[in-house]
Amino acid sequence: MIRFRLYYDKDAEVEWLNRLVGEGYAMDRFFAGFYHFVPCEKGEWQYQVDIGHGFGGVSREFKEFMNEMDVEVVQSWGPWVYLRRKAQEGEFQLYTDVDSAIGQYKKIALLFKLAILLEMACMILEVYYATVGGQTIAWAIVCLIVAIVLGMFNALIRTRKIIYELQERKGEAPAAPNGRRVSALIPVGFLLNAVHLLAADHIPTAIRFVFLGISMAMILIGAVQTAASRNG
Amino acid sequence: MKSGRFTKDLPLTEAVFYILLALRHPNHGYGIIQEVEEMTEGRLVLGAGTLYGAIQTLEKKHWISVYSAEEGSRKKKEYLLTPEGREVFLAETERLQELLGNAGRINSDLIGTEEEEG
Repeated sequence: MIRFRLYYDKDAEVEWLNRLVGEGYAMDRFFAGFYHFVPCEKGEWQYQVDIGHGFGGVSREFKEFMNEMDVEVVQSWGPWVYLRRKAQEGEFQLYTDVDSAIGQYKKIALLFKLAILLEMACMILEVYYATVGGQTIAWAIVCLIVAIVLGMFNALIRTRKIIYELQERKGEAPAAPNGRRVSALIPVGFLLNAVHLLAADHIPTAIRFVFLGISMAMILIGAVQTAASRNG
Repeated sequence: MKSGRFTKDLPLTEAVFYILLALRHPNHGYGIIQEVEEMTEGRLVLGAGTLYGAIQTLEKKHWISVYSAEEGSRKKKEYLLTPEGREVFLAETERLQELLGNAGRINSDLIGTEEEEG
């Protein structure tokens, strides 16, 4: 079977993969958000996701090392690496001490920062096309990019909070992370707006206004929710 | 003081300390995990990611080196502590002994105070 998911949170992704193993499906391939599953014995595997061994896949040395640990490298996708081990080998944890866990989450935070910068650069380009060229599709892409950037921003805030908690556990006294999560209503509102712009020529004006109204309301309510929320 | 040369490298993390200890003799990845688990009576079980990262770092610092590499389908690499790694380990042991020595003195002072109060 094939499932489509977009995960910014690798812990939630691992939990989902392991839940599907519990239902008898093991992931064996991944491509751009599409997960391919094959039947397996219920609870046969334990999955983990590792990050930060380069963008061009993992090294032969990494694969050999993991094989020695009875760990199978299922697939690498950019900096994301999917690993699994037979559940009968015991609990499968990749990072067992605070220092290496902090290192792992710092790599994730850096990836989000780089991705946000890249998306922002793309957005500036699209805003230029939209204003100078007057292309509706460019505005739709701008809305889409805003939604993606906000999603990544939330993931970055969450990652920084985890790093802070781990550093506290280690006995360090780090500065509390600044920033608050953006309400999910805002990126969803921008997504709806993108759909409304893309479908503008194919749907009646009345429905366009309904779409626009809903998306603007979501963005406004989300902004109020975000302003009222506490840090983190 | 022996530890002078390595002051900036200390203290070692618990994982690195035990990895160096497990590499006083040639040992491969899985062997390191097992030995550390036995030494700590199951308290410290090194994850594969933690061990891989530590081995990479320790090799770069020249504290450990590859002792032998098996050929075949499961190419096990054995690692061994280098003379520099041994020095770091001894410096850390010296630091820990100082901590324990001071803790022991304070403990006996505390016990003495409690007895006088009692």
